Amino acid sequence: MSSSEAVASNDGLLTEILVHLPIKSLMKFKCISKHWQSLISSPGFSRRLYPDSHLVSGLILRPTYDCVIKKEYDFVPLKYTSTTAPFRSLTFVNHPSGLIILQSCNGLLLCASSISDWNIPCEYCIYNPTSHEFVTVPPLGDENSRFIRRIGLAYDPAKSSHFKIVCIRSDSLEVIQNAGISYQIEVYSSQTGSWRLSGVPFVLPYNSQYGAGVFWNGAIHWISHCHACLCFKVDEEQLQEMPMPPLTRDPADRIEGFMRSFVYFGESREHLHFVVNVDNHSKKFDVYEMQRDYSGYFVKYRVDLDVIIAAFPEMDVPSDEDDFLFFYAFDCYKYSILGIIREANDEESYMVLHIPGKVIRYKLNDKTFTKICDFHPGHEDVEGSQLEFTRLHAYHYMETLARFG
Amino acid sequence: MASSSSSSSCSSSSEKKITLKSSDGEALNVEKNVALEFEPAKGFLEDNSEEADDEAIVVPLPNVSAAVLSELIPYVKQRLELSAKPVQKKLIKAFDDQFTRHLSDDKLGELMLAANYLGVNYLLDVLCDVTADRIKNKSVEYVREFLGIQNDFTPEEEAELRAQCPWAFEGVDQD
Repeated sequence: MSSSEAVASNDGLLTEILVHLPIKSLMKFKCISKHWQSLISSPGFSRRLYPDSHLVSGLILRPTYDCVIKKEYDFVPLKYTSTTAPFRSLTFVNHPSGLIILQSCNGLLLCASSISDWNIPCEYCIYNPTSHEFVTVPPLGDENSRFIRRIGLAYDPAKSSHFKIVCIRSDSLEVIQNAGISYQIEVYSSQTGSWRLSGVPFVLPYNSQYGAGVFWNGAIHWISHCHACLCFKVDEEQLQEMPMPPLTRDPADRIEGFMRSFVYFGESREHLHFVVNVDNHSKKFDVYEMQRDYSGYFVKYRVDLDVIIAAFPEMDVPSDEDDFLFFYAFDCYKYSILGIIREANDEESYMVLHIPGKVIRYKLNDKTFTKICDFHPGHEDVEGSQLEFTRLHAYHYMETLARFG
Repeated sequence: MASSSSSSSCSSSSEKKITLKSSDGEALNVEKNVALEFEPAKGFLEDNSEEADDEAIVVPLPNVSAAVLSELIPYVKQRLELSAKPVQKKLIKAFDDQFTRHLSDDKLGELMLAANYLGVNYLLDVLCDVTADRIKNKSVEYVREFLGIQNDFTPEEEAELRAQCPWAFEGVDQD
């Protein structure tokens, strides 16, 4: 046996060599033998490569308005060591209308075709942007899939390599006793490879909104500006209403309370965050965190953008737009929250803020901020206070080789 | 401070010597601080610490040949001298590069097995990195041949795996 052969037959040494290989080579060398395949796909190996499974390496951003035409994604690196964009566009499935991302969940992306047209049945794929592996999900019956209103991916590699997709679809658009329309939950399990009904139909107010959920605490959560916020416990298959943080502090202040409303909803490092505006000028907000038992929210961080606005005066909307914006208090300053990112050491936790031409990292505890990158996404000729990205279109890029399917 | 005392002790002829016995029965004299970098030698010396005369100690290293040891010893000695000085990581990297650049694949494997057995982790890390660098752009067939690995996939299974990850097979070097 040559010395190289002796090295290759020693799993400890082989693993040490493999951790030095780029991902592309690892994917290629899964073909070497069954043993190499299982070594490279093992949970232990993924943990060796990526010891912090909650680390968000970057944000994948989808432009709000040109998603249907161009479907090109931008990328904001968040690690202190350089990370490159995992892709520019999703071309792994040759779907006529292309694919867009709906949700990021523990390293996997839930992608869909043609959500822009309700009348075309949608196809779904699960994609790992680190390894570029994907699986396609068999469609719901044509008749059913066109009425999907809410969808969500549930995947926790610490518990299982299997994933589930939960959808809430409307049976028909017929209004029942003025109360709303009938909905049905269906769940796809990668273990069985099929969809099945969960529970019986139920009635909710009609909601034309289409939305992807946030997976946290073994459940998928969907929020809505004007309807009940829902939570589906995936293992128990229980749907319930989710409590909301206080949007109005003074009951006499309802209109203003509505205006305050939430500006961000997302998960990081097993914490569910809900960001709420607390002033008229959209300069101050509270970052609420949900208790794990859903008993309520508590204020985790308080943010005041004054120092950032002072440092970047371009965030201030020119005064001639004031009248127009009078009723839209949110839009007084140009920014959008792309993410609330928790770090293993909470002192390092931060908010990713997009301001004109830049992306800023704002530390939530010591309230210091640094520029992450210069950034002119999409079309540069867009004027006004609307930024091209909102939090709805920023997806966590979390590197993993954990098995799925 | 540490640098001057350490480098003078390394070059000092009064430095205690230890004898290492290779797998092929050769005896090699090394400075004690170098021998202590080898886990089995360190353990052996601790177990035999009551022995008054270090010169009389012979440490058996039954898994490493004299040829490999005689490459390892100067490397470890110089690396110790380097890391005792407040030198930049760049310099250590340059030293490691110089050491590994001309190693044959076979020698690389031998040193890796030895570094693993002797617990010289900084060298093992360098050697694994070099090995990874040598194979990363190679074809699957080349790596199988190079490492003596039997392909136990059926042609259909292998074709399916390749189809799942076409991007990984772009830009492969000539074997």
